[in-house]
Amino acid sequence: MRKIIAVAMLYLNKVVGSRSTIVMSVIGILMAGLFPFIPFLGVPFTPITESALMSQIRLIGINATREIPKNVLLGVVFVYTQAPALVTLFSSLAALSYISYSVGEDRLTRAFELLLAAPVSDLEILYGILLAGLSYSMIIWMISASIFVMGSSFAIMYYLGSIPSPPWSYQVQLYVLSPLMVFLVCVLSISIAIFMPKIVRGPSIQLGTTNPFTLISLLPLLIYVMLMSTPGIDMGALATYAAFACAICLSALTLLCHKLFDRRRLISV
Amino acid sequence: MFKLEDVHAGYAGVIVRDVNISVNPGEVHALLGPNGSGKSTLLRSAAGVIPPFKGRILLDGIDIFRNPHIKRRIGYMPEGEAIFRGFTVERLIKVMCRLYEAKINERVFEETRIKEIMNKTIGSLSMGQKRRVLLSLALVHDPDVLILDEPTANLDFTTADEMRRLIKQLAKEGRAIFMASHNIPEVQELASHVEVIFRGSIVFQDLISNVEKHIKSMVSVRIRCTGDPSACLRELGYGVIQEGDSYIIAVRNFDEEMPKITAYLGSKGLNIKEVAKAGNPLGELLREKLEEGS
Repeated sequence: MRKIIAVAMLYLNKVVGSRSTIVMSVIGILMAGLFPFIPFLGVPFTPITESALMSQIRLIGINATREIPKNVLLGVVFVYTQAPALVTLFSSLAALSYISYSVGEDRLTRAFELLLAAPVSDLEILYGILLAGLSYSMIIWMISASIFVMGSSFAIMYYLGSIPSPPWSYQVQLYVLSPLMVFLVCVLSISIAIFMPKIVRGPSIQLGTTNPFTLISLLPLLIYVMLMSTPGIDMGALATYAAFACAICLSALTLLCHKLFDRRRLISV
Repeated sequence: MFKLEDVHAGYAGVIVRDVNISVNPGEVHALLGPNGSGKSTLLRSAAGVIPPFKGRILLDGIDIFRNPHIKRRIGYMPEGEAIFRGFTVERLIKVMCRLYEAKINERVFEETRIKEIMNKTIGSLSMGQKRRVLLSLALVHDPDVLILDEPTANLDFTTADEMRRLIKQLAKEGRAIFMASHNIPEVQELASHVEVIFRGSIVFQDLISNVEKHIKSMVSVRIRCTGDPSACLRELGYGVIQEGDSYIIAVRNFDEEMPKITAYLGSKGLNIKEVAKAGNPLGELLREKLEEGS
């Protein structure tokens, strides 16, 4: 365990070392903080979005105790309903950027050699990097989720004069499903970065849609967004499946590490 | 004893084949060879970075890939600037010591002169300072075996000299050292044994003191004397090249031929001021082995 923590420390330090990761994290957190103020802007909505948002008002437990313009009300509902998806998106992108930077840079500068020459097993290296990636993405998730929750609650109180009482399904979506999705994105991106390192092309942020690393890593997020837009979806069941998926991913990583961890592939640039 | 036994190593395919080397405590083995001959690949395998396709790397009879904990007794200094960034030197050393589950050997900081840069970040260091930090990382857990990939490459004269002095001292302390180098005078100064690698195969290995015995080709000799010896030397059948006040000829057997040449020049009234081998024996050997190989 000491060695896993030491590997994780090596990689967590990269958060400080990477300007792009810091910028990405700060942008994510800032956007999370600014998002609840969308109603101030009086953003116009298309009729379809408008009707969808109207139908959400009751579902998400918002009660307007005072008269407010319709577009402000819709703005508040929009912020509140989109919060879980946006928190998940920001945290996933920050995790992806961090992982592609850290693994990409170490392959490029050959710093990986120092780690591979150390008396640590392949599994300890994988767990160490995983621990660093998960710690970083969970910290980002916690910060952005807190800002979202506080910001949107404040916005609702300010505009509507009432404290929101979100239903169980909303809470599951935000507090269970969202971190599980970030966890899955993180595990998937680290697996690709370690087992198929050539896909991670370098230390720059790999967010281009043509990049297979980004596409595969963000797959859980795409599935999540698709499922969220499915009417009548059972959040509890979805969260259970997501937890199973995380457990299966971790078990598969542990079992297949000795077959998939290829030191020669990691070193050759 | 550190031993490479029938090692075949590489990345996508085999680059280095059939390598057998034994490094005893106190010995310095130098791996010489041109670029792309497989020096770094072999050192990476020896350091436990990449497993060999075939063969074993043993430390006191224990396979380092089957028992990675034994790598605690090996220190590795990769080539260039292969070092984790974003850390201060002190922090990186502490984290690496945790990986090796070792106490920090603070004596190393003085020996490698990194005490004054302990609080600097790796990114702000010069190439020479980074190489010194890499050497400290290789030494800080007090290893028995040191694997150094071109330890003095791209260093200024003073830093390279310090590095060489330190390597000599480490060998004296009884560490087994296996290093790659392009620098022939450096190998002559440091190594007890030399291995020449060419196109992935070891084409020569012996004690450095035996190198001259293996040179089959001509040896260049520089002669300086009171007059112009070129006519006399041509009479003896040697081709002569003049370089300033020196005359260079090529002999097949220095010890046999030179007394005859000097005696002949003396009989012609030419007083010899200097007779010296113009070529470096190790360099000649390397050139010869590479010519044979190609």
